[in-house]
Amino acid sequence: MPTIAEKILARAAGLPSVRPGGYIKARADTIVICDLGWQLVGPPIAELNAKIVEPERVIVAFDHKVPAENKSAAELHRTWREFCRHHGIARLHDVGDHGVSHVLSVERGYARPGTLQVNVDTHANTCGAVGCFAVALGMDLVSDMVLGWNWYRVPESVRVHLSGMVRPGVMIRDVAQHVMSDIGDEVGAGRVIEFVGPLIATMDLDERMTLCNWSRKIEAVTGLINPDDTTIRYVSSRTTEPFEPLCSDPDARYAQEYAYDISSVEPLVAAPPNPTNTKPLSQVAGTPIHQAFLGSCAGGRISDLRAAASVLRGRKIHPGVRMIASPASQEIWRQAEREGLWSILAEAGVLITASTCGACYGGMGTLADGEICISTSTENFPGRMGSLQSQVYLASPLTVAASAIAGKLIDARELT
Amino acid sequence: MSMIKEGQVWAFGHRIGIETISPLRYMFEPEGRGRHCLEQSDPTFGSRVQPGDLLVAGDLFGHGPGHDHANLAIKESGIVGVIAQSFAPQFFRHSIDHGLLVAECGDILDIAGTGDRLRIDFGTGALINLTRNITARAEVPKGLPADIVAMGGLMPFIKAELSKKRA
Repeated sequence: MPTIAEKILARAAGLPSVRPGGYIKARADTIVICDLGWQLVGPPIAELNAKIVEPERVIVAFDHKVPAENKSAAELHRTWREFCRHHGIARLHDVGDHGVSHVLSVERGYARPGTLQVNVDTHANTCGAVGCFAVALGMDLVSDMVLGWNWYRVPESVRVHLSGMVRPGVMIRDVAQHVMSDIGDEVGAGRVIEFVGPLIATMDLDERMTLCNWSRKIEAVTGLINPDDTTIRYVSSRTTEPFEPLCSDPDARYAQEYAYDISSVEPLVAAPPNPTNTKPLSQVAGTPIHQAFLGSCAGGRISDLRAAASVLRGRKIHPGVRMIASPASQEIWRQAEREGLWSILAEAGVLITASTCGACYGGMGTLADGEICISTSTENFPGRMGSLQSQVYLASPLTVAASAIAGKLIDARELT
Repeated sequence: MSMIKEGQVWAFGHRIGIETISPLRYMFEPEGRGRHCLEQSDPTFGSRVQPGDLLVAGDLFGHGPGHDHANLAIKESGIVGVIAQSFAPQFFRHSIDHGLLVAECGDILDIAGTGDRLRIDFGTGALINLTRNITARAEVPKGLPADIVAMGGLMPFIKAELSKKRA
């Protein structure tokens, strides 16, 4: 009767079973680090003068500083290259072969069903889309790297049953914002959010990644979807490494259970100052905007770009607005090119950048005092994208694209 | 490391997030991180806190983007330990890594306020408010994280583990 989370942790700990609340030592199948995570692991490993246990488990992905925008970013990347060479880490995803660490992790088949993955990036939860228990840690990745294991307190799970049909003009991003805001961090903190129900079978991998990614917003340890045929087909096409999927037992025990018929979900925005400050778009419609951002691990996948392009095709960005599009990985960049999405966006007046985290954390496309941005990204606390006096509204790619055209927050279905 | 700490209390409310403890810009500009710690909640905190003081807070302390610069900011301010009604999970974990002592006590805001003198054993959870003469018990880390905390953080712990392996 264990949950998928308990089964994965038991397997990683080499134990027959684990119980919520118990402390375990577990071996991660993969260890993922982004460029910006250097300070957490680089200097400590140098100080320990230790070898990395099984360097083939380590994946380094450049994402926040791509391409290097100044000397310190260039030095950071150089340092990583030397570190990987020195420690025999072959899986360095350098500029041109890069992507947001956890998005890349799914694309390249590093996140596999039934496995445990540790990542320095806070949105590691994304990898739950393939039934991989992916957890964001900090400097304790050093423990995984030099001792070969880490400690975990086995989390309780919350079961979220999703049914119904997504309305036209509504995206899984809206569903994710609705569900996570409703559950809240009082329930989500320190737990695993497991998504089940008939809606899941209708969702592609991109949508599953968006849903799991957003579980981070309520302080969940991770989000998880039980592997199904869609998962197995996808992962098998991405890796030749063997994997053994694990799923929750039908009689698994949960700390809490929720059920949502998502047919009634309308387009939503998360207003400042936090991603769970969710409001119906209709409540804030008409708010003027200065910038629109399409990108990040929560909104820079190929299906997000397609959705935005469906709105932008044959239209022009409002003269008072600049719109930036940053795909979440090079693979997505190339796919968008093949599908002709870049020419649609560029004709509309969108600035297309390298695949990078970029504007999501204010690394570029920075906001000035008093400016308002509508964004598909992950955070909207004061100063996240620039000035402390700027504001960020978080919404779906459809809403972001429509608002860029209208010059104000607007429901894509109302665009004339 | 002695797990018994005694110091003046600095009390903050519920849902104090990472950004309130230490804005993200200090992750990239660590200079002055401790001095600016919690200044959004109390602009005088950084200049008045004394080494060895204790921080008390309500529910979900350290929520939000799970970066560890906020834990460092608290340590750099001089605070040795945090007693909260509950912690955001990543903040809790980073605290153990960085040797910032943590304990959970469901009604700590009723027990202790700013200016009180508090003594707490972060090994057992026994605490006493010396100003108000109230005793209480807090939940402290158990198992492996307790071992890590007792050694002063992750680095001393890993060094000890490596020397066991090398021996």
